[in-house]
Order: sequence, then structure tokens, then C-alpha cells
Amino acid sequence: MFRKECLEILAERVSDEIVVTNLGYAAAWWLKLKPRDANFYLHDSMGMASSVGLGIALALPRKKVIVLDGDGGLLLNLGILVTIAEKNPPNLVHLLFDNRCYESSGGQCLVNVEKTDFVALAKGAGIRNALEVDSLPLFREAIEFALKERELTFLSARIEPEGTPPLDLPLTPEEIKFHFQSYIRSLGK
Amino acid sequence: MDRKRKMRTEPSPSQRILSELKSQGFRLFCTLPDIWTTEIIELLRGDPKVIHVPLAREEEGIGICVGAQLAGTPSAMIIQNAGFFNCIGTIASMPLRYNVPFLLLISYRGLWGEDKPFHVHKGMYTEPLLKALGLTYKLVSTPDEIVAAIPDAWKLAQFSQRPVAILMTREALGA
Repeated sequence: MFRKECLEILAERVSDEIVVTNLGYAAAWWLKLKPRDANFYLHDSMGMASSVGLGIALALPRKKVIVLDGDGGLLLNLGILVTIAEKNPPNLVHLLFDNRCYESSGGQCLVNVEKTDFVALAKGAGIRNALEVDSLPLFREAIEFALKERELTFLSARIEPEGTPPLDLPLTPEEIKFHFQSYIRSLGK
Repeated sequence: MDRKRKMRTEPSPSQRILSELKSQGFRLFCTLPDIWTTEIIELLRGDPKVIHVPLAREEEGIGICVGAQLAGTPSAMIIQNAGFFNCIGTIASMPLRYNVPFLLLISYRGLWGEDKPFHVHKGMYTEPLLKALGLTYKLVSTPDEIVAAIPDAWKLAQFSQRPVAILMTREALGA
């Protein structure tokens, strides 16, 4: 399966959840599929989507927050699994796209490509509800469950590299912040 | 007044700092301990009115503060200057690009009077790095100065929509 197919399923299911995207493909595809104020896109800061998502989830405990992360990004910020496990926010869904390469920077091979087990890393950090899916029906089922339940979820989707040229994100940081803060203000917090 | 009684009746520097941060509206605190900040982190850990996020590595905290701040929760980091060094790239690419204000409370190791040789390089590079990032900062040397600096730093952070740093000496933290 491909990231775009997973994101299409997610786009059908998302309603009032906040979505924080990693840079590169995740941000660009999500903007194309589901442009909305409740999205926060990273322009750079590879690896920080999970941290930003954790901060939002802790600040807004009644909102579901979905993080679209990448395997290379997670490796840059692996300690966040421990920090997320410590806080155990029931409203956070950490969705990992695992394609074993740095696709948005040219498809180079990931470090330790054969052996890393991201679900085992998440479980080892103390995230009880950590699972991997490798087909679209299983992805659909897992994401529906994660959005419904009030439990911290780490969901790793084993995907194939898209093999298409990287996409640009046609939004400035100022625009991203403006839209996201408009959404936050609309919540009346 | 004997020493015990004094300790009971007068708030410690850590208690005063935390109380001022809370009265300024700060609610989320990312921390990674330095021996000087042990007491303030213990106070945060036991305080049900705040969201305390102990960090595995300081850089995470930049993302967490950005997220919480954008979601309407004023946020601060309490870290050592070595931890600030770990955050440089992410400060440049995130709060300084998206214009997000929060407070960095940094224990300033390696200054005049430092008792450990391995902290000295941190004293040498902290202010040059803050200047390189264009971050406004204030060096405070007494508990009174920290308490006075917090509202001004927060006002400046909000006006400039950038993080602002307070560099805290050992004396300022009463450590």
C-alpha cells in the first residue's frame, strides 16, 4: 500500500480531529486531500511533528490529535516515544508511515533498514496500544478504532515508497499558523 | 528567627519562581533537570494545576511548547544551557519561522565561580548562540531578579512573537 491511499482513507474518516503533519510528502498530500484550518503542517523541523502533536494533545485534552509521522522523522526524535508514554495522552494518535527510506529527500535508504521494529520501540517505551498494519483494509480498521477509542495509539503503516517526485507545500509558515490559530479560536477556549 | 522556622515561613526561590510563572498564566512546563533546578522540577511534578512534561531530550520540548502555545496554553521550558545547545536547529526552524512565543528558563552553568570544569564550555558559548539566533535574553543573579524578569520576558515574547530566554545563575535559583 501507499501513503496516499492511507491518507485518502484517513481523509474520509477525519471530522473534527486536529492533524499535525511531518514535512515533505505527508504535508503536501494531506493539504491536497483535506485542506482545513485544523491542520498544522511542518515546513522543516523533521521529526518534530510528534512533539508538536503531543503539545497540542496536552493543551486540548478533549480534542483528538493525529500526528502523521515518517520513519526517518521518528528516528530523529526517538526519545519522544518515552515522553509520549510518560504523559499517555488518550487523545493522541501517532501514525507512522514506514517506507524504510528518506523519501522526501530523494529516497535514500533508512539506517538499520532491515532490523528496526518501530512497534517494538513504541512498546518498549511503554506505549501499550502499539500496532503495525500492512494492508489497506487493516489500516482502515485500525484508524477507525483509533479515532473512536480514548486511548493513546501508535499505529505503524508499512507502505511502499511512492516513487513520484517530491511535492512542494504551497503554504508559508505564517499562513499555516494563521489558519491553525483561527481554528483554535473557533473552539472558544 | 531560627533557620528551620525561616525555611518554613519564607517561600524558597523555586517556589517564588513557580508562583510567578503561574500567575503570568503559564500552564505547561517542559523540563530536563540540572542539579540547580531539582527543587523547581519537584514542585512541578507535584502540582496538579500545571501540565508537567519531563523530557527525554530538550529538543522535543521546543516542539511541545510550540504545539501547546499554538493551542492556547502558555508554555515554558526549564533546562540547562547544555540542553539549550541541543535545541538550536529546532528553535531556528520552528518557533522562529512560525513566530511562536514561549519562555526558555536556562540554568547558566560555566560562569565565574563554576565548581565543575566540564561546565566551562557552556559558559563560553551560551550567549553567543542566543545572539546568533537573535533571541532576546536577560541574565539574572538573584531570586528577586528572576521574579521581576518573568512578566517582562513574557510580555516581550508575546509582543515579538518569539521565544525569550532568562539565564539563571546558581544564586538566582538559590541552589
